[in-house]
Amino acid sequence: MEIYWIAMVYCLQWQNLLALVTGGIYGVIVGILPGIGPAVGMALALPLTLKWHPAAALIFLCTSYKLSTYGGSITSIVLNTPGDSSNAATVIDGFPMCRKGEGGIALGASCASAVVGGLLGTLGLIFFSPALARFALRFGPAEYCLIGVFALTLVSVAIRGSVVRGLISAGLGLILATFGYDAVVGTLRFTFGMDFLGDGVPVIQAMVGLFGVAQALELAESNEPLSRVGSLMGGVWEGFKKYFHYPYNILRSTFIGLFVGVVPAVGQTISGFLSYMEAVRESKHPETFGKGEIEGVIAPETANNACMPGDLVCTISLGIPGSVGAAVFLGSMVIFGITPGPLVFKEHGDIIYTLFMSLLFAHGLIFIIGLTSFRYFARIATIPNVIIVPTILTISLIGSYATRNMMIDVIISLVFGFLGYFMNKINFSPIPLIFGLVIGDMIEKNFHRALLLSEGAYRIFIESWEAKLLLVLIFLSLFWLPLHRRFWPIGTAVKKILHLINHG
Amino acid sequence: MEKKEGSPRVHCRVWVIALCSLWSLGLISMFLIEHGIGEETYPRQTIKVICGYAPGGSSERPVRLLLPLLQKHLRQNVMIENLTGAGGVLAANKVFSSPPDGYTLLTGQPGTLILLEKYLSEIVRYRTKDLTHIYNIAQDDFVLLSHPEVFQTFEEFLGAARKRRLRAAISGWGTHTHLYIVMLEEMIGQKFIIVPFEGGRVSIAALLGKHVDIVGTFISTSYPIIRSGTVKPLMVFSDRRHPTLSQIPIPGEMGFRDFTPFDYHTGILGPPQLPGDRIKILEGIFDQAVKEPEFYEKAKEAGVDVYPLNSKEYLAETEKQYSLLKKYIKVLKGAEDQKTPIHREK
Amino acid sequence: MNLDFFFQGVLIFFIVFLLWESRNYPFESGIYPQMVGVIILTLLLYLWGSNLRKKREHKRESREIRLRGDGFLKISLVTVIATLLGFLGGFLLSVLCYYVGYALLQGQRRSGLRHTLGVGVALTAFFYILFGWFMNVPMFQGWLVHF
Repeated sequence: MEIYWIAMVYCLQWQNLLALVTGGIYGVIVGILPGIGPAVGMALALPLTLKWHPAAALIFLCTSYKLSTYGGSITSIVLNTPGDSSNAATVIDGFPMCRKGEGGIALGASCASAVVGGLLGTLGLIFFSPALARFALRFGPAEYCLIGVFALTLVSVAIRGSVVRGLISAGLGLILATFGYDAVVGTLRFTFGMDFLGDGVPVIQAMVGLFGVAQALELAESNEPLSRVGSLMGGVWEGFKKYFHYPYNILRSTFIGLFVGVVPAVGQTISGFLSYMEAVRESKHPETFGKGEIEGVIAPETANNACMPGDLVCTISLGIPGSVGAAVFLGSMVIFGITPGPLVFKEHGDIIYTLFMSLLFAHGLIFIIGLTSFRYFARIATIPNVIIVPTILTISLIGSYATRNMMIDVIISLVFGFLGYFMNKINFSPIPLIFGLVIGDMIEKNFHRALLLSEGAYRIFIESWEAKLLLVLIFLSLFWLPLHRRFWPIGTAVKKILHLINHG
Repeated sequence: MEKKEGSPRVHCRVWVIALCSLWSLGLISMFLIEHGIGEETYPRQTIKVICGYAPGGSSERPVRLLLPLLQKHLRQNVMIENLTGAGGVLAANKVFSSPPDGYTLLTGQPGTLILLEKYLSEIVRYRTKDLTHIYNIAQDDFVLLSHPEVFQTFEEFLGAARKRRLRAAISGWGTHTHLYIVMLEEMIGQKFIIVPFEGGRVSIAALLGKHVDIVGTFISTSYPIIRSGTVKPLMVFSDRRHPTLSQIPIPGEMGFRDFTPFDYHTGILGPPQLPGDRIKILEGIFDQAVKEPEFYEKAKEAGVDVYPLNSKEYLAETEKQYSLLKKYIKVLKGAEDQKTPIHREK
Repeated sequence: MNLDFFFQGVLIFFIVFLLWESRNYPFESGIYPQMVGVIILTLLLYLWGSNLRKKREHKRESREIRLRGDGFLKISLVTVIATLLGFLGGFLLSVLCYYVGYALLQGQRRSGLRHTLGVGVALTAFFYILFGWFMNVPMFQGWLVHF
């Protein structure tokens, strides 16, 4: 316990506190800009921090990583454009809430999600790091493939309207995910000699186009403001309080986020979608999702914010980054002479525990920023089109451009923008497309890897208990609803009989 | 209607004109500062060093650590731009086609670029030999790792390899790690099941979870985990013992006398036909910066093995890699014929 | 022109093109995209067929989704031209053109246009300071301008 007290005192030193606050504000700005994301944000800030004390520098970077995950929810809710791919699921219900004039409530709920989900995730990181890291290592290629398949089975839940159109959209995402270098066999697929497709269709640029650019085109065509209501109903504080009406959603989403974060190379995007789809499936009123349901904001944002500390578990304990953002953070730690791995707690325990404490304080910062400034963000929804349309276009495309400083990325976003515009017109949801794009690569690569490891034997997919559990989840996901409907009359009858017995 | 002074229309016009003028003035002054108009010496503006990999990775680490010292000696801004894509091909293509003015450079490993020339020829638009070799900063050695509960020594590993096909993790097809594992197959006369992962750290994670038997990776990537004892190094693929892993044998000592390492040198390259005077200036500055004790200390802490080579020596090393690759090409081609098990003919 | 049919037709063409392109890939590389492609193609053909059937069964014009051709073309033109100008003069030029283009498209003239221009210029300057200055993103890199 002593080390935690020492770390807390160290964290409250003015240099570290200043690093915390500036890192937080920087993180929110980075998060708001679509396409920039925590990894790029940290990379851009790294040269500025090279001369600082390692603790202050790492606090700055870690806090910016934390708050950029949260900052991305602002543009998801207000502008229908995810700040990062991890916020893509928040768009589904966040933006409709804003359209209804409940933008303040959505932002309040997202603030509460960041505080509570992040706190629970950080506590998991602080107290259970080594155990979680050992658990994460049990997941091999077979288990990763099954995680991907499980996530894919849930996509039908997220589809609004025609299931066939939703599946086509998801399939399109899966096939776009095959573009580029086939890492398992080494073939270049569908690049047509263009080097910028060597790594496949870039997810950030596609996402920015499908949401941001498409949104700008629709607004420009319709000439309606973002908020159809024209005024805001309900404030941020109301949304913050409403968050606590859904404890089961909170706990489930935290668990999903922490689990996905801990397992390397799965990613926050998947945690957001998984959590959202579980919330839809377990809701008593699934038809309200997609039309501005607050649980549709709570689930993905809580998961995302619990995922980020989960990402750091393997990064710090083993030196194995769980995501691109975690990889940049790991690189920064090494540059400052703090080598992550099993010995880091012994050799640099003071800095590591200070980092943990600062992560806890960062949630207080989220609370303050959320409740003081977000009402102003919510008002963006009432700005006239002539300003908001080019602004959405600019901040979306600048995010695409800034990733690699290539105009071709802007063109890719535009192409996806037009695609998203047409898809929205004819009731093809772009959400399954983005999801397919994110998950397709993971499924194919790990499927081939698993079969390589087992020398062609499919039993690798049922060998470990983790794989068996995932197969059960896949089965339930595919067949739960039909089974539930089939046996529901029996269940009700049993309940009635029990009731009669209990009450004579 | 007459426009009165102080009327809203006049105010609006004045504000717009003022804003535009301020903006233009700001841009012009930034441009002048940036380009150091009036100065004639090189460098006159920011030097951009392009890295083909994600920020924070081991590929850009030597340059990242050198940045403050370079800026001090050059008295000019130097920045790293991460242009990821196709394993570094995008960055190399961009630098190869950049004007040879000394303001756009590449940090990378010529050995990797040579391998990519062969494996991704469809999208490669550079020739590694034609890139201007300016200065080499660091080098890295390849190490074979195992889980301590699986193999403790190289002899144990060799014995097991002769009884069954071991599973070997690499960082991807066409990478150094792929080449080294294939070389190891040839050395010991046994085939592995080669499984590509997305980078060295992810393949180490697979090893820690005992999903694979051995991993081929670089010391800079795996040193922290080697030090903690969580993985067991079996052999360092070099022609000399590694200073920090001096207890680990090298191929020459285990009877593999034909082995020649395929170097992993991280340095600075420029577009083709960079003027000689600029090469000299850059070479001199990098040499000064690399030899500073401050850099050496930071590099040691960060696990970077400093290995300075001047322009001529650097190019000579690259030419050696081309002839080495010719030697291993048959071996690589043989590895390419390995089909994935699901498609084996029964 | 029914947008739904047109879009599905384009998708079918795209998937068929990808399937044809993948015919020379090694079996291990080609099998997965080909499998996914065939499934999507089947679903698309099913959708096309069922839409046609519904149209015939109801015997009256089902609600066709059409583009508001004029408005969409104008917006697309402004967006594309402004972006292409970015290739010439750097991305910052595109940013300014988005504001000017949309203001003109919205029919703004004189005082309204001046106001929007002012806001546009100010925001463009802000983006330059934030990205070009602080984050070192090259905002003036184009074919004609390069600094």
